Parts: sequence; C-alpha cells; structure tokens
Amino acid sequence: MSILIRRSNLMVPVTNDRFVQGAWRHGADAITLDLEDGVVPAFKASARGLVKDAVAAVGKGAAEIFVRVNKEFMEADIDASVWPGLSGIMLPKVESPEDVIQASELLRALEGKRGIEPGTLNLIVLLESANAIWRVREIISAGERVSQVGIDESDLSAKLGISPLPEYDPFVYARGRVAIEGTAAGVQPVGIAYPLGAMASLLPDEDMLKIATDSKNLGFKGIICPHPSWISSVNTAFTPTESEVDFYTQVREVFAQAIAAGTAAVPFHGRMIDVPVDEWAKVVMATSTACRQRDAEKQTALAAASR
Amino acid sequence: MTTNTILPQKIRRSWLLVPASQKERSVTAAKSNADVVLLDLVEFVSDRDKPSAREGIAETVRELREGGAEVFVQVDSELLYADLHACVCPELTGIVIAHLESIAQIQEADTLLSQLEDERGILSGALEIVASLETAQANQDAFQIATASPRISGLTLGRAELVMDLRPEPSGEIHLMQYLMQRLITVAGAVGVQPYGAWCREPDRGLLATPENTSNAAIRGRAVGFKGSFCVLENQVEPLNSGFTPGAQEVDEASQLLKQYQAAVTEGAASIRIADRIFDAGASLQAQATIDRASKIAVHDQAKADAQAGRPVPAP
Repeated sequence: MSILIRRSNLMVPVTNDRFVQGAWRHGADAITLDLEDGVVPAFKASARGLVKDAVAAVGKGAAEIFVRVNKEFMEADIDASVWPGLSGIMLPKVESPEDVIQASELLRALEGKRGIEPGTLNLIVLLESANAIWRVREIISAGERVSQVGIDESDLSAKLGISPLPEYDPFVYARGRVAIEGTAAGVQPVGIAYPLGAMASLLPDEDMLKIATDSKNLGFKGIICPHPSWISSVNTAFTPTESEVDFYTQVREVFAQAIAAGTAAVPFHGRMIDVPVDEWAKVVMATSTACRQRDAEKQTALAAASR
Repeated sequence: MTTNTILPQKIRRSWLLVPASQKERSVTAAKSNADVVLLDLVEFVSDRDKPSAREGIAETVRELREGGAEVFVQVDSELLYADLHACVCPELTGIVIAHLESIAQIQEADTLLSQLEDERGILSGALEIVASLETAQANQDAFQIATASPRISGLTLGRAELVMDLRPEPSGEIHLMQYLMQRLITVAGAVGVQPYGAWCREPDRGLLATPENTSNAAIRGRAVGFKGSFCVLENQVEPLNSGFTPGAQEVDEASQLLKQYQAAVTEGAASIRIADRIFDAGASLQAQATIDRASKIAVHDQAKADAQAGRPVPAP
C-alpha cells in the first residue's frame, strides 16, 4: 500500500526572500513557491527569474517542492519552474479538462529538456468557481499527473458574490463533492474545515489542531497552509495517533484470531470487528508507517542542513 | 454548454407572490417596494378560479410594471399553453415555472414563448424563465434543466413540495435541505443564472414568517449565495430587500479593507494581516464584489423610487 503523505503544504511568495530562505525550517511536507496571488502584478515577470534558486533554497528540509503558476501566464511560469528538485505545479483557477491537459503537455516537454524523469512531475489542481466544482470529475480525470485537488474558498466566495459569515458555511456541498470525487478518482482531496478556507486566520495551536482534525474527518488528506504557524498542527492532525495505532494493531490481532477460530465478526472493546474494520486498520497502520518514514526523512534533512 | 461563471447582476431580492385571482392585492403589491411582483396562477388559485384569474392578467402585468417592479407570472408546468397565452405581453419580464419536472417542459415553454413573442411584438428571446425545482428528480437534473434554454435566468427550489419526496425530520426540517440549497447554488453559479431562496427555519415560511425571521432567513440565504427570495406578505418585502443588501457597515469595512490591501500591493505585498486575519487577493475580490453589489443596488433602488414617484422608468 503506497500512500502519498502530503499533509501540510506551505505557500511562500517567491518574491519574499526572507520567507523563501526560512521556509525549509518549518517542517512542512511540501512547500509551494507562489507566482500567483502571492505576487503583486508589478513583480510577476521578475518573479520567474527567482524560481530556480528558490527551489534549491526551500528543498533543504526534504519538503516536496511545488510552484503555483498564473493561469494566464501558464506557459512562461511553468517554463520558469521546471528544474531538478521540483515535484510539480500547483495549477489555480482550473475550469476545464483542457487546462490540465495543457499543463501536462508543458510538463512533458520540459521534463525531457531539463533532466527530470519523464512523467514524474505532478499537478495540484485548485478549483475556484462553481463551474469548476461542478466539473470536478472531468477535470481531475484529465491526466495521470493530478495528485491532489482543492478548493480556493476565498476566490470561490468572491465569484459567487458571497461575503462569508462564520456561522453559515456556504461550501458544505462543494467540499463534499470534491472530497468524494477526488477519493473516487484516486486524487487526494485537500482542504480545510469552515471557516478557515474562506477566511484565513492565525489560531492558537489547540484550535488549529481541532480544525485540522475536523478537516481530516471531512475526508481531506492535507491542508494548504498560508502561514507557517499552521504546519505543526496540520501534520499532527493528519498523522494517526499512538493510541489509534495501538488500538488498530490489536484489532488486527483479534480479527486474525477470529478468522482462525472460524468467525469473521468479533466484539472488541465494545465494537464489532469485521472485514471493513480490519481493512481500515490496515489503512491506519500503513498511513502511520508512511508518516513516520516521511517525518524521518525530514528530520534527517533538517539535521544535515542545520549543521 | 454555457460556461458563464459571472452571475448576472439583475437586482431581484424580493419576489412578492400575489394571487392573480385577487385583483385588489395587485394594487397594494404595486406599493410594496418589491423588486419583483410575482402574479401567481398556481399556488393560491383554485382550479375553479383559474379561467377568471387568467382573464385580465396581462392588464394587471402592465399596471404593476408602471409602478417600477419587474413582473413575473408563476405558471403551472402542466398548464403552460393556457397560462402563457393569458399572461405574455411586452411588460412581462418572465415566468416562474412551478412544479417543474422535466427538460421537456422547459422546451415546451421556450417554444410557446417564442411563438407568443413573435405574435405579440416582443423582442425575440426577451422573456425569461425561472425554474422552480420541487422534486428530487428535478433537483437531480438541475444542471440539465438550467442549460435546456437560454431563457433560464434563475433557479429556485420549493421546500413544501420537496417534503413529499424527502421526508422531513420531526422538527419539520428536511435533513437534506442544506445540501439541496448549496447544490442548487453551485449549479446556478456554474451555468451563470441566479439562485433564489432563503435559509428558512421551520415553521418560518410563507404566511407565518415574521418580518424579523424573514430578515434572518434572507441574511443566512445571502451568506450562502442566494440573491433573493420569495414572500407572500407585504411586510416581508423590506426584510428581504435589506437582508439581501450588503449593510452599510459591511460596505464600509470592505472599502477600508480594499484601501489597505491596495496600499500593501503598491508596497509590493500581496497579502495583509489585520489582527489574526490574513487577507489575500481573494479577500480583496470579495470586498470589491460587496462594494459593486451595493452600488448596483443603490442605482436600482433609485430607479425604482423614480418609477414609484411617476418619473420616467428607464428601460429594463
């Protein structure tokens, strides 16, 4: 069972040198260098020239590295971004399968030229309109490269003319649709429980952990983080806890004994353990193992880079 | 397929439903300040009264239009021929098709409207259709329905009738209502038409909703993306108009935010922190949308006031 662990993805404007130089220290599973909304229009062109060095700078902590490109400058931005060390492109304002196909073609052409193994660069797709939410299935099925899909709730609110109120979540349906369609297509849905997607803010760690846990329970596999203070709570929330791992380890043992004794359903700590619970136990344990490996990689890299 | 992702900006916050069989109600409706008067041939008109309600309905449409409101007629999806022949006139903005079941009914209405436009000297394609989806099937087919005719300018869903398909909780609420509302808003946004509805709580519907509860339903409705809603009493009109209008404080905050954001952009920063909130480009677009909406509403309200005062009505 191969599981992609990309719990936290830190957004960093490529034009902010201080943020770029410090990004690797925060423990994010992924770092996305932003050429889009994080860069003001006057700096769009010059920002492209910063990407190559920034890719090298942010990779020191073993984070996967992405670049968020401008939809309207997709070709020039992707051309400026594909360098060894890059994991892929975050593609915003996707409206149709053609957008995904166009980006995939650009990546394919550049992989060859820039010494990157063909087919390895992947796409994180952002949906920012009702049309995109409605067409999510076609969009994320438009190529093998799409690894994650999420909603930019801030832009979606603006497009629908919504001034969000914290008490009334306007995107229960949209989030559910993306979580289900993404999961069905084998594309990880990423996103955050209301209201932080539509109104980003800095919260105490305890509150952040709760909202990140709620996000995991909505079916998401990770959160795009506008600020480094979110990262540690997000990593924690998307990592199975020790007590979960203990519990599901016992579940697997109890279930194996039950099967040996000729039954496929057995009570354990007040729960009925049967095939789906055993299957879920496998997922939790594989996720736990994959998280531990990912964390070890990052710790090793961090220690080496800090020396 | 339509891929218009910008919602049309017509201001239709309050739709006052008036039974076409009660002529005297249309006189008071004209003074209600509703954005839209919806003359009803379906919900509040018995079968026996339908022929007489149809008689003279076009005349009522004309009178109401002079008062500054847009006028729609709510017609029965099963009685399209008789209802449309009775109401189509140049002063009519469009029809609401109640109990809409199928794409075929939209096509039937479209064809009839085209014929009547042609016969009655109305610009071809001018008459609009708002589809009222009141069954599980119609909601399932919402996208196909919304794209079945370029006349479709709005979608709504009928709560009372949906209870027949999707049983209510003991509280009277339909458990799936939030899902259905937001799905409808998503479809409307994807197609580029306006979603109408309010987020009502039982038993605050129709005749029973107080002005205060109507206002709260409108505020909740606007917060999830609805652009206007329906009412049956004149004292529910202003709560809808104000509930679907960005408040003065909200517009003020949006202007302040935009100013600070633009100042930051000139300094080279693309997001700002105010207290614990992070405002990015998306937040600035939201603020701009709020300001734009408020100013369009101000223009609209001025035009309505002019019409009510007998000053010349601008072309719709």
